[in-house]
Amino acid sequence: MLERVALNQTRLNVPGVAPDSRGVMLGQRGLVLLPTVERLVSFFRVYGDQDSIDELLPTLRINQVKTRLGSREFVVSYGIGSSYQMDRCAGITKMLGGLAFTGTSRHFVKYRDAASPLGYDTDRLLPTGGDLALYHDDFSQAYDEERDIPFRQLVLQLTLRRIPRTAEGLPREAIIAVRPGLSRAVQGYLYRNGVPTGVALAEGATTSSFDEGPRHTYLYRTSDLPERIAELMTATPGVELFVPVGPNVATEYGYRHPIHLPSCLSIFATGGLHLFCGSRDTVDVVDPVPVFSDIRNLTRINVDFEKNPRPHATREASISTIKVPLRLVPTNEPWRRIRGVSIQWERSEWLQHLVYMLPPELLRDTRIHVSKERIVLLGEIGVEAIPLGTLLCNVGDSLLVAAGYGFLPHVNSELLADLVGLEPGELCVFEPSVAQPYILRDTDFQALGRGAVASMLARREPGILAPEHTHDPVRIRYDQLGPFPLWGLPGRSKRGDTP
Amino acid sequence: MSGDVALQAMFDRFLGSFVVPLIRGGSVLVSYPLGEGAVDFFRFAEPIDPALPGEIARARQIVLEEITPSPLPETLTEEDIFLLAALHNVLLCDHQEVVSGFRGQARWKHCLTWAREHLTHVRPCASADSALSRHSLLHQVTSLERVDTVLQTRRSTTRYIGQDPPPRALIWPGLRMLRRSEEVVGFQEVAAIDEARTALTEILESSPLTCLLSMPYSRREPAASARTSVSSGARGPHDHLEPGLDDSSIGSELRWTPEVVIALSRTDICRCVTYRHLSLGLHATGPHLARALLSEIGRGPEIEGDPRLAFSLRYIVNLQLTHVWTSGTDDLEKPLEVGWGEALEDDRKCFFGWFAAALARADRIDAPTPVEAEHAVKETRFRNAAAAVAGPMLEHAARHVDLIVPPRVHSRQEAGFHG
Repeated sequence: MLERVALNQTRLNVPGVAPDSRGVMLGQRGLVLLPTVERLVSFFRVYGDQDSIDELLPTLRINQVKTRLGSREFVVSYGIGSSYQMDRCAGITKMLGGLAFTGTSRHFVKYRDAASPLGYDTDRLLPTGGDLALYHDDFSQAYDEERDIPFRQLVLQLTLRRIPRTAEGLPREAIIAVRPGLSRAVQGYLYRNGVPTGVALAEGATTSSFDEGPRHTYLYRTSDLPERIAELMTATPGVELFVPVGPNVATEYGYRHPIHLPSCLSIFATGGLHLFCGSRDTVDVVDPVPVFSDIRNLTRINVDFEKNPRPHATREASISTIKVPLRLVPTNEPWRRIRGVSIQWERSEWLQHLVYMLPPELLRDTRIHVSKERIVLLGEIGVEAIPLGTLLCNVGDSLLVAAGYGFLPHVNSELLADLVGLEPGELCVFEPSVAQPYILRDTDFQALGRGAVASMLARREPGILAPEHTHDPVRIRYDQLGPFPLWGLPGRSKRGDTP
Repeated sequence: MSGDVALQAMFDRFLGSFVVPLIRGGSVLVSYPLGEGAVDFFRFAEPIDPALPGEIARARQIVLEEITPSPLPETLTEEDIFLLAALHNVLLCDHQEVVSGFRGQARWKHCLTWAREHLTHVRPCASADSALSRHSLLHQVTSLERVDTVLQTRRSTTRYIGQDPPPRALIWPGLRMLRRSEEVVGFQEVAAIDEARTALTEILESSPLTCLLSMPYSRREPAASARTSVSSGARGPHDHLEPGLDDSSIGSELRWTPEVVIALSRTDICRCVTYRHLSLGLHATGPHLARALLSEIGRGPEIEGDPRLAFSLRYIVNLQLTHVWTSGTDDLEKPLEVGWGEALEDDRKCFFGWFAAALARADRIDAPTPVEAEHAVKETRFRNAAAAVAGPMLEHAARHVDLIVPPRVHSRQEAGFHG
């Protein structure tokens, strides 16, 4: 039978329980009783999502317990920092259909609830027997501990959940696990595309005597993976893409661990690199943590020692003699990332008519630049719907080129921006019809709605019901009364009396 | 006829330059004194500008919108005219040209006599509506201030009270090494003459709602050594306006008059006042409320069962209850420990002592029961802390509660508190 604890009550039957600074009865440990392993996992899922499980781990114990009648339940016990932390755990436990207790060693009494805000005490203790004694409204029962479940083991045994790939963007940082047969091709591909990459070789332990030897896997750690390469890696058999969630742990792209792993990173601090693979439902542990080497040190080089080095006859030449002009050439590549339209000034009247029919989103999101020769419209979405002018595709961050055209030679966008002399906040446009590329400043653009609609004069009409609050202080100002302020003062005495 | 024309001009200027800015904020022009004949004329006069009454009514309505949506009379009543004219005349007692010269004392006494005469026509508020109407006129009185211009040369210092200095005083500034400075004088130092101050207090007390809402305002009394009253035959009334007044202050004391109780007995007004007092903090409002009640208790055993005092006690307890329940923090006792340490005055201790003692007699004070368990815990903790702070005063406080609210049956509907 439980009794409600009153304020300032210090004599309690449950040993190891005392009021804290708020007056709430609290032992040194909190205990959560959960009926099934699913709810046990759910407890850590919910707690890890709200708080750091790392805080609990030093004192955390998970036990499977058994009653005298043989029914099995799960017990999570941990050291309590404060009653606020215990309140959070009790709230989660109640939501999951479990029970929350507090105590110190063996006896645990029900934690406080709305019926008794300061907690509970029991009128009598259970006699000896059993490793745990729990006191609740409905029961007072002894439990025997059956087995200990390490939290790390629980985390490693859980199956990853598949999530839609649209739910998370393609990762910029990734670990790519590649079978040895594909490693050379992947390595060359990453190097050619200039992806900053580190390489390591992981050796898997043999599990059977019939294995040919240790299973090798090449690991590539990339820090700035382009989206198209990430897409390619996820679609290639034999290649697995992992997303790092902590220093030594990564989950396969498209999967998520049921427990929020960043909240319990301390269990991965030792024991190597953990790769949670959802498609194979395994955890690959690379122990010790591999050291990644720069991919640039592993490219193929040709060395011919037999070859007799022959000095070349050098010829002095000026740099200008080898410079070639940049040309815009038609390409067969599909039009991607159309961000703008360039309209000749002669077509401006057509654009004026078109503005009346454009949807409001386009008027709001599209920006317009007007110069003497042309009008340039820029927008992220929907600008290709404008049926005028030349469509412009985005190449790099600040270069626009006419759709269907490419550069020859194939210089990358950063170099091209450097050659053109672009400064921050500027855009360069390449059109085949214009001999020389032109640069537009970002500050000269206006929203299409504001730039295209003529300004109107409006008259302000104050409402007579508008509140007339003034925040001026109420200041006394004295009028000039002169030296004889009461002389000839009208209304000195009552009307009708002699003034 | 010419007298009526002059009075009409005075009336228009009185409404436009004194009444409207007094309600809406801005520069309040204090001009020639308003005698009995002038106010008699004002009672029945209509302003030449037809928009002026509507402007005043709208400004008053805006003031009341912050308290309660309550309709007001469209025009100023006779009592309002008398009250405003009295305020005008009281403020005039600081006018340099009124108090200066060999006839100065006679002049400001004239003004005060007229002000007192006007005040005799102002009856106490008999209803909450009239309290609201009064408050809409006087709500900014305690915010009144004045800008004094001080001109200092090598030989003299001249102060222009609430006026700009004349152009002749500003000539040859370089040659005379003229230095000009402006000092803002707060309401504490307006109405420097004792008699004028008393009249100003009466004007304030005629508006119970203004007293309640601006209650923590403490009207500072100048130090006795620095005060130089005209009535005491000294040089001038503004000599004590120098900075450096001592800190001994008396409040524009709240009194639990029947008008205050009538105003508070309306639910919406009570709610507004409660929130106002809570927003100012119990440390600011508590002593005033307690002092007012203690002065009533000092009258002796005749107060036993006085419904007016029972109401005020209920208000004090419910104010603290509302504070306890609405404060989001868990650290309720900290303000008591920090702000109400050992050396406290009796009124402050009583403020919390009554709370602790009255909650033990919750059936008598119509204290609402807590709706949440957390409220109950908070309430208990706060009551214990209040009892600890009150210390030996707790027994006195308990006796006060027994005296004011003897054991009998009260109905909750009587109180009408909505914290």
